[in-house]
Amino acid sequence: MSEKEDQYWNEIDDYLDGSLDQQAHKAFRQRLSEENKLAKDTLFQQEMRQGIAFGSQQNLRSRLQVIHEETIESNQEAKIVPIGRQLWLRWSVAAGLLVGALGILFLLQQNPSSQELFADNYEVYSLDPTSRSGGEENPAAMALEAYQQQDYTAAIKEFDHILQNEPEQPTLQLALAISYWENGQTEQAKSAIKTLFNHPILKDQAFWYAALFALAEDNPEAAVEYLEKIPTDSGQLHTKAAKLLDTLQ
Amino acid sequence: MINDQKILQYLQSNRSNQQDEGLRALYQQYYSMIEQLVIRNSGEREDAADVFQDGLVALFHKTRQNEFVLTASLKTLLYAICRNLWLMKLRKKKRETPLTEVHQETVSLDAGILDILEDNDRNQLVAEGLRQLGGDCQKVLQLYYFERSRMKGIAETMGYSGEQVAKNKKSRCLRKLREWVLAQPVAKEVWG
Repeated sequence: MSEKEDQYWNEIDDYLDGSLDQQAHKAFRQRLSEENKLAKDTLFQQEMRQGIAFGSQQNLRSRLQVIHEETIESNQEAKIVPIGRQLWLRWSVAAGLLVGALGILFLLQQNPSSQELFADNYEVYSLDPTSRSGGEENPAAMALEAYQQQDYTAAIKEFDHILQNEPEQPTLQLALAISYWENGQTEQAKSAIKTLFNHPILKDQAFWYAALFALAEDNPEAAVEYLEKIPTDSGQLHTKAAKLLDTLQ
Repeated sequence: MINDQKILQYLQSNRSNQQDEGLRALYQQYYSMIEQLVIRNSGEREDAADVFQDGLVALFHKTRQNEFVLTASLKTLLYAICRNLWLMKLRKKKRETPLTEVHQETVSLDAGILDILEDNDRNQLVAEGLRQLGGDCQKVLQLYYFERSRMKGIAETMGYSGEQVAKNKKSRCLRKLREWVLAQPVAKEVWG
């Protein structure tokens, strides 16, 4: 019974996919005009397909959010200010140079420890909830809520559960690593961050955090290795990494 | 600048890192155009980000359909999608006025291209059913109906021994989802 039923719905799917050959397509259309049940079920299946597609967007939206942050937000921060503000800009640059010069003088006088460098550079990875459907019942939204509330024990539990079912969620994997770190589970944090070293988009963030974790554990050599893997086209992250490398070397 | 054929090839790939390359190229090449469209027509930067993301979701889904043929440039298609989305939002806010265009070419959109973005009761119910299924079933149905992967690709992604196994799995999962959806009291209201 189930097999026959599956066959019936598969044929409807094939029609909706456009994968029936011309003759079968024509025959199906003929049946649609004659059989009310088939016409009704085809419409129902069309709506099921839409619903599944609607409910499947979370992963893609998470990836788009990461791409947006990396390609748009970092550029907008670097945009030139309007002409009216150029005087301020000059003053700011002058002040910045002065502060920078004083900073270099200060650095020449004393070398900060690895832990101090960690403390100066470490920030919890900022993650905005990207789910716009499902509200509180959405496991990803619940996990992100826990993360933002700094309830890292709950966040770890939720992220872990989601990633077991859907391992290809790199942003959540990164948030899991940070949650482990914040929760004092440093070995798990290091393991979790390593899984992102080959990710095409998040690998630079992963190297950055791996470097900071190494600094916190007083291992500047490992930190240098990770920082050197952050390429020059990584925008602000590269700037931060280059600055930290200068200090370490 | 990556050309349309290359971007399309990336978007239609089964590998998520290649898909991301295509999406990244679209962001780099066309985001500012859509931002201009929204800002010049009563919107804010945040609105532009939402419209562009929705537009990419719809475009991604469309380009992965069997019958998809690119009849205009991706720029024009994406503009038409985002333009429609922004008009719909303006209509909801009752602030619809003739739009100031920032791209002159047009293309008519296929019916239903924006349906997967509709936050209606029917879509919500099916999406909830999908979440309830969880695990492999959720993944297989997502691959088939959203990413439009073929059985061979699904078998590879899921580690199944062949296309037939993937096909059987998809049928079983769809049946489970259908049964769950129809068993919900609200189903009668949603489907009349």
